[in-house]
Amino acid sequence: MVKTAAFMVMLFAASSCQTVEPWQRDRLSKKDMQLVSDPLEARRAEQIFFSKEASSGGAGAAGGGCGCN
Amino acid sequence: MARRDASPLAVLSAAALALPAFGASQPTERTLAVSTAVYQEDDLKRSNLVFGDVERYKVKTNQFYVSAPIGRNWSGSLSYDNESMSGASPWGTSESADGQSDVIMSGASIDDSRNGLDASMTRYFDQSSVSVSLGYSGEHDYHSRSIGLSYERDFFNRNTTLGLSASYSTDEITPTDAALFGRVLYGEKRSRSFYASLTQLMSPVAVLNVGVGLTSRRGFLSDPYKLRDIRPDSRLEKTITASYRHYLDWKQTSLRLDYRYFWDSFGVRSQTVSGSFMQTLSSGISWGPTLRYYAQSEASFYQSFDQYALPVTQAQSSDFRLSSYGAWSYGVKARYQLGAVELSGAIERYESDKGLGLNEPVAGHPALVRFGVFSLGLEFKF
Repeated sequence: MVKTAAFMVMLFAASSCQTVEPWQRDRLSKKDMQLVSDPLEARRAEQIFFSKEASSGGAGAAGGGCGCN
Repeated sequence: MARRDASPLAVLSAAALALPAFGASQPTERTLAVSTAVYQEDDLKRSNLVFGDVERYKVKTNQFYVSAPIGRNWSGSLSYDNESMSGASPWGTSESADGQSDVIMSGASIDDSRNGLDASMTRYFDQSSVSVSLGYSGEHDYHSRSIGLSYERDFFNRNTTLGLSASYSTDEITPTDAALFGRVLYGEKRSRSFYASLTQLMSPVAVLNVGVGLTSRRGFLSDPYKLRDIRPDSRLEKTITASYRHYLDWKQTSLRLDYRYFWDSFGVRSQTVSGSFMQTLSSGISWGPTLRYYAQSEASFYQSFDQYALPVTQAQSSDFRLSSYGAWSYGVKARYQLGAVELSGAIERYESDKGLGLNEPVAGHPALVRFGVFSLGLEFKF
């Protein structure tokens, strides 16, 4: 776990990011570049994996549960 | 300076700042979307069946979503899901003659439905936004209510976004045929969840997001429909996540990568990696493959088969979802853009395997699930 966290921090810190000006963001605004590109698909997938796997979360604060798990 | 501020470039910059690219900015369009999907699990092998039906779950899902800007500083969204489920599910496991575990299934007569509703309102400020959300999920024997609060703050000319969110939910269960099968009559669970994330624009074609999550669940956490399922009455779950998006100009393709590390007080830890491509063709068609890898370890109280000799105060579960296993899922999705309307379709296959688990080779649970999902969607922006 500590190694994973360290890797994340290093990835973030060591990334050679540059300032992106507002007029350079047309490609970043494309649907498939969003963190959640399709809210319905994301909800459905979250529900399926929540009901069939022991792990959940990682996409914001968790909401309520269901009788499936 | 004043003349330069009023230049076309400045006006363009101001307009571009409003683009919904990872900032806490108000959406500029209304979105209406509907979707339908069929989820079908493979049958259980008859050779692993002690009792019950081999025909497992089938779920039909219909979804609706709408979001819109409201006034100059607000937006709202509403999501509705309806699921109808049928088929048999595992009740328990027993030891077979050769020392392996066999499955006791319910009859295939389980027939249920679930309705889920989520609504949220967001207020936008100069460099930040605040959202409140309410959620409800209801089945004939299960009701869940949740409230959430989230905050986003932009820094460095919207190159960096900090996200903070918290939620609280209460779940109640009143199992069917409780008296007939000796199940608990009523159970409730309370969950608190916190999440923090940082999103950084890396370049005009790349963005990285990292997040940490913490969820605490207390109350009745067992599965009342299993013959012998006794779980601790509290569970603390932690996640570390990373998401990366990269646009490949030369192929007009978006690359999506997501990673999650999960660990909890049940002793479960897991790794999830998923990736997809989405290529846009000149004909208005976008398509691409999806791939997901998942691997988990077993819970500390997991048993290969139900142990009736153990006291009822001792935690145990033979639920396949708490065993050591892993899974690959793969699929393809496609979209067709026709003016303001977008049609989409996707097909996905999920195959779990004991050999992919994070524990040393184990006997494996015979009820490990394999399923397919087929979905169709329609989205309208106006």
